[in-house]
Amino acid sequence: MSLVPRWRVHLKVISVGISDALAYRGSFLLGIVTSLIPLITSLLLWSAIYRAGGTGLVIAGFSLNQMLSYYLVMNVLRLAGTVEDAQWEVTQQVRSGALNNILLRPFNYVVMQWDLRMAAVGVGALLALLPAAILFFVARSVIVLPASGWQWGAFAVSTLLGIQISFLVSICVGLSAFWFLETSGFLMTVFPLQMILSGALFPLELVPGKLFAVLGLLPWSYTTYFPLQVYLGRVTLMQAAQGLGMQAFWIAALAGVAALMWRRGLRRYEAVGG
Amino acid sequence: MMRILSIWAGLVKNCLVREMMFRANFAVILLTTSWWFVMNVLMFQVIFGHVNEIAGWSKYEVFFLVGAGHTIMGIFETFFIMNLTRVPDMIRTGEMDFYLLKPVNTQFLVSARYADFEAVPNTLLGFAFMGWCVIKLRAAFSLPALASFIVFVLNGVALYYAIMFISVTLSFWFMRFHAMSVWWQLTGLGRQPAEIFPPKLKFVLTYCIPMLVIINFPVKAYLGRLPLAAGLWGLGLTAALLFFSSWFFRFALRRYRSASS
Repeated sequence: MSLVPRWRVHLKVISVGISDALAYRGSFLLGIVTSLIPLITSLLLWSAIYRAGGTGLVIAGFSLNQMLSYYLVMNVLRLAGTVEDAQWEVTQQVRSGALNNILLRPFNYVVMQWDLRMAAVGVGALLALLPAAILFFVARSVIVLPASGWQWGAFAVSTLLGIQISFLVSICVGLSAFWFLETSGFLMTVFPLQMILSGALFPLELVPGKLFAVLGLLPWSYTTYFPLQVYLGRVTLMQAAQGLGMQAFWIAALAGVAALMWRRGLRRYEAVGG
Repeated sequence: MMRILSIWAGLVKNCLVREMMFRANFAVILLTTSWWFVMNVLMFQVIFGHVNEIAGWSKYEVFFLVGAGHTIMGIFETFFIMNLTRVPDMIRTGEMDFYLLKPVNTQFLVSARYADFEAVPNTLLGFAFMGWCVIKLRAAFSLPALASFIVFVLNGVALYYAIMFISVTLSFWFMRFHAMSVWWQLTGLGRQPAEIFPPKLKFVLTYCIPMLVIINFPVKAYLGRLPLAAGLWGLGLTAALLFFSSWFFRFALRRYRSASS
């Protein structure tokens, strides 16, 4: 039995994560400004596409307002939750040997990463509240809101679960640094691919049917795309429940993979620079 | 002018020799850096699975535009970006001294000392892709169209350079300056078909924040859709900003304190 209760260790790490996130509030502001430009670009692009087809045009089941809301809400979510940072940090710590210091601590590394990321997401969500409110107000004539209470609830839960999936995928990608020494190229290749698979570039329905069926099974589609589907009211209660089940499945599966990778990886770890 | 060009050729050769020592990287670099380009093409491919045109642009015209944006930024990255990002540090550490001492135009040396070959495979890919688009467009190939395209590609690179150079020159006053990343984000607007923008915004992007001049103009020139007046504006603006950047740099140098030397 350790000397300090476990929950106090969690609290300590989380508070470190919070002050860490707050220390970079300046770059958060810059992040808002720079993320606005691609958002505006997507909104204008889609408006132009729908304009050419007439007001009643529906693309892959999306009306214009649904499409615009897809990008607006996604952008707000991305403002708060950037757990993908984990894959860069884990890789870097494994490669540089900075992991040595952390291994000496009586606390699981992956759990520590989780605490840090969740703290950052919490702070990010708070900081994103005001810009999100402004964005929703400016876009109030086009924004689609969930029609019923269960949709709000399911959206909130699926967003939280989606963040866990993102985190676990990032951890797995990051831990692959145990096997591949030179991973920066790999990460740069994987990251845009993850963006597409998660539906961050466009709603996944836009791809041809068979491909869509495959993409819909992969974990990435449950990070961003699925919560947005729930938000836009494009799934029934039954489908939402199934989706949440799939999210739970992926969380369990990825947590298992991450744990396995962590154990196997540590055996290979050479503690460079230690 | 000839002297500057020959020095530039020498500098580029010098960088190429250094780069070739790490030759194995070349293929990896192409694979890793062309992803955003591939993603962009893929996105439009998906959209064109549902519509026939975007604001009057057909699929291969939009692809052509994506290729042009990629190529123009690739040329800029190859010759300038590495140098310009170093300028704030050069001012802070006093490294600028070495550049001032050389018997050649300081702005030139500061802007073009290092060439970055990471963007070269990408730029070539951009050219090949544009060639493929032109074939797919079945547009009659004409030398004047190609010539005006090349003129406006170079004009775009020069204009973007002038804007970026003026921005980094501001770091003589403001040490921590994020202008470059904001400008880079803004080029995202220039990569879109100009007609998607509401008229007012299109006006701003042509005459105030001229992102459309940089990337849209070359493609429009090739397709014969660039009004003469707009073309002249684009060329004139570049010339004016290049002159201004040169004056502004010399003005800013008077503030240079040669710190820590």
